[in-house]
Amino acid sequence: MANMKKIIIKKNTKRTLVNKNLLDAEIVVEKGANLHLINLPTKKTGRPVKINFHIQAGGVVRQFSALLHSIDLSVQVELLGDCSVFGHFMIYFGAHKEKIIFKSHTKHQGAQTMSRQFICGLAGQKSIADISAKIDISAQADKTDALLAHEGLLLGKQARINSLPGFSIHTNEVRAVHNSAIHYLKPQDLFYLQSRGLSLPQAQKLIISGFLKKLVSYIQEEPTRQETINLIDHKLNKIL
Amino acid sequence: MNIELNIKNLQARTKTTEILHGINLTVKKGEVHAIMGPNGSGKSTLAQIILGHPKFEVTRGVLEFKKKNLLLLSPDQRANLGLFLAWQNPKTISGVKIAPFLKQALEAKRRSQKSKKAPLKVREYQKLLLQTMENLKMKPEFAERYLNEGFSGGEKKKSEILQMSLLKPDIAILDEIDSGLDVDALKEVCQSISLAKSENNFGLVLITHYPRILQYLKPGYVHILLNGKIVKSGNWKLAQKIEQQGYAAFR
Amino acid sequence: MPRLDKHNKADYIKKAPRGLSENLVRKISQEKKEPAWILKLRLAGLRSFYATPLPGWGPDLSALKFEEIIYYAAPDEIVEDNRSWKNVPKDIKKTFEALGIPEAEKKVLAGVGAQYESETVYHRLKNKWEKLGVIFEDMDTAVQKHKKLVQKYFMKCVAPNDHKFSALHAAVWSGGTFLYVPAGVKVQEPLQAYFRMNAKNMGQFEHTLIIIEENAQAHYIEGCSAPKYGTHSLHAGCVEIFVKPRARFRYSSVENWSADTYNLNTKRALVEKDARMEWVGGNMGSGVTMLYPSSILRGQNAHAEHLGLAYAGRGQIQDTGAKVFHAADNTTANIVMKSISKDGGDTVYRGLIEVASRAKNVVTNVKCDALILDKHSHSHTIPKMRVANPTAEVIHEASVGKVDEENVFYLQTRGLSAEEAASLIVNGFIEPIVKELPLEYAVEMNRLIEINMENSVG
Repeated sequence: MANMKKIIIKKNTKRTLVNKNLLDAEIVVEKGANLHLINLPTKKTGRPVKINFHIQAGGVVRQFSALLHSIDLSVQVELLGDCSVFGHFMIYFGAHKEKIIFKSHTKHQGAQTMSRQFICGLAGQKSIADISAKIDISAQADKTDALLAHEGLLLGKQARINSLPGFSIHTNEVRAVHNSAIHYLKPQDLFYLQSRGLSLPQAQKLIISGFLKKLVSYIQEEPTRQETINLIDHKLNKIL
Repeated sequence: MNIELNIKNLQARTKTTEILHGINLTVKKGEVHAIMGPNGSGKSTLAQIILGHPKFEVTRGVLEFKKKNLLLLSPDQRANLGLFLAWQNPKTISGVKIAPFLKQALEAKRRSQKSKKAPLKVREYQKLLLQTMENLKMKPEFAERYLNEGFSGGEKKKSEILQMSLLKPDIAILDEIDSGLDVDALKEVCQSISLAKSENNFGLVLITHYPRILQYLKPGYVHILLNGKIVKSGNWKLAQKIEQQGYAAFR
Repeated sequence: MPRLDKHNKADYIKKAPRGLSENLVRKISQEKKEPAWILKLRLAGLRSFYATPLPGWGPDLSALKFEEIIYYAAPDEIVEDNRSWKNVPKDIKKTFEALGIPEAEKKVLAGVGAQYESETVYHRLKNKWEKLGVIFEDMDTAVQKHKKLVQKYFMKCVAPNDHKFSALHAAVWSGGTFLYVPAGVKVQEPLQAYFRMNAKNMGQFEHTLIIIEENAQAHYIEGCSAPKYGTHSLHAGCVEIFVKPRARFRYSSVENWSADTYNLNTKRALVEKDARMEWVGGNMGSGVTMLYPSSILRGQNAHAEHLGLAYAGRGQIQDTGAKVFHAADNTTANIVMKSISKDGGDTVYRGLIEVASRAKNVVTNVKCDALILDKHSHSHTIPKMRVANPTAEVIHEASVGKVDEENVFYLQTRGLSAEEAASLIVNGFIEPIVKELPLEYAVEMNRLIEINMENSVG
């Protein structure tokens, strides 16, 4: 792990980081600290990327990732301290032959910890998305609240989405839910928009755009949010 | 014997907050009391504490029913003693049908009374259930539904009233039984309550913050609960005052 | 514990050899007077078994001592004519009475097949169905009587080299049920089979082969029980089901083996065009269970329904799930799994939904919910979805939690004690599955829950 960067978010501070080159990172979020991390790779990532979080008591991480190119990303999260929180809002978009591999492993170890993972993605043409998210809740992690939701849209005849969520729970004072839905653009939705005068490609673009962008509002930094929207639009325009 | 619910200087809290700051209230079987107050005053909490909700801790005071110390009894023991709580937001219990559930509840009550007839014969129970539902103008199919699952607001209240009518308490506490009901539904529910009361003459404690329901079920006693304390008690004229002036007049 | 822990004396422990060998396999084939093709299959299975390692996933099977297990034994008393209840030995009758068979016999059942140890002892088919051409035999008899039919289908759905335990099964299988329903025949009453393991270290390797011809319909119920023992027992049976076009078939089973068994069954169905396959299962006992009924939806519009319930108590691991392969257009599946773990028990849901790229307009729903009743118990869900067609709709929902305190309080305010309330809530939790189980099992399931709910609240 030659490029593993170690980052410490100091006690009770708040920071926003933008990760465009997608470096490996070992991130420690100290007590009461607040980190907003935005992963926005601008091109295909050759080697596997690992981002590890160690979150202490009261620490909060809000991560946003937009995977618009081929990538192999692993995110490991340790919710070590009581009342720590991990949120991950991720979109993926494969339009041609991209291979998007995402693995997350969230370990709830402290008490009253919370994790929220929302993943929305699209696989078109010949792209493949391999999304797996594992959540471990240890016997000491009382009152854990964990939610994982993955919604995937398949657009191409040769596209593939694989979803592998998983829970491993060792105590009963928990609330753990996960939902996965892999589907397609509903003809009724398209028809509705067409009946308002939009052409089919316009309707498709509108629905897909809305679908991908609904998580973009979680980016708290304005310029980066706009940049993400532009990147999505740019990619959409190329295929529709 | 004078059956009464006796509350003296009751103080209670959650893990973090004091909610009741000394409630004094006596309700006798047959009487109709109204407890009114704005949102957050502690009305629902009081109702739940009387039945023993695990979330709350009683720090001081007396809570007695039929001269028994309720603080020493579990919620089911309090219920079997003759108290009923109609919930504001009844819980949905999946996979449990109303009919068999109520049979179990009835048998639990009979067992607590050490009645020889504790296990109910199916036919006897069915007859009782159907009769009760008919009186309440409820369709028999209703009892085949899962307990509160997919019920509308009105149906949830009806479910509570059905349970109350079958279990025949000595004192029933109805927590905002009027919330979420339209004009017609409210009338129906109140008629059901009146009918049940006329048959068993139980004591009634109506918790509400709208005076509407009191037009149908006229209380002999009205209490205003504000910030965890009963600040004023009176007769139904007090309710009228609230309708005209709101709670501000009592702060 | 409401499990049948009685057992009858059995002398065959002295006679039957332990461990696996080519000689044993040949002996089995010889004693059964099997045709050559079966021996060939057995030997191929044996070779595959030796060559295949234990699975690299799932519960720990390393404590299984293959060399100590008895793979084949027959009770001392062989019954000549196995068609009449009167001819069944007294000893064995008593066991069956405990299982409630005569009762069942009197009621709605079409026919009852029972397996004791590895040989079929009692089997009878009602005249009515015989006349329609329904074949409901023990597997060994079917091999002799219906040669062509059996050879056409035997281990074509589950191949011997699928995995280590299908290989073992191919080598030493014995007994089981053969059910054949001719085209257009609809069997209204459910057909049942009982079998049980008895002597220490008995392995059960029964083979159930079910063929439901076009537009036919039937419901088969498999239930079992085994007495408690200190050493490990192994159960590696196989169920193969062929559901032909427009046919409908339901397979219900309740597995309530004793706490020291390894239950490693393979159950699979091939579902053709417009056909419907329903799996309804309850897994209660046994030490370690690995069971993933699979439906291969090969024909257009085929549908699979998987309803399952798993209960893991002290020292138990229920690693169960469902697998559905959508290999044709417009196929659909609905999976509902409920699990309960208590006293340190561990339930695992392992599922796979695979949509082939050529399968258009597939719709699948999976719902799995787990209740963990105390701090010492565990739950895992590992549902895999692999979708390669853009017209598919694959939805999965899972939730894990404990019995809601507020729900308990609600029921207490109706006079139910805390235990009664929790028990009712848990029964309500599993109700969608239990209501599809045959009545006797439903009752047993509810009783099991009630008994286990003592001391579970708080």
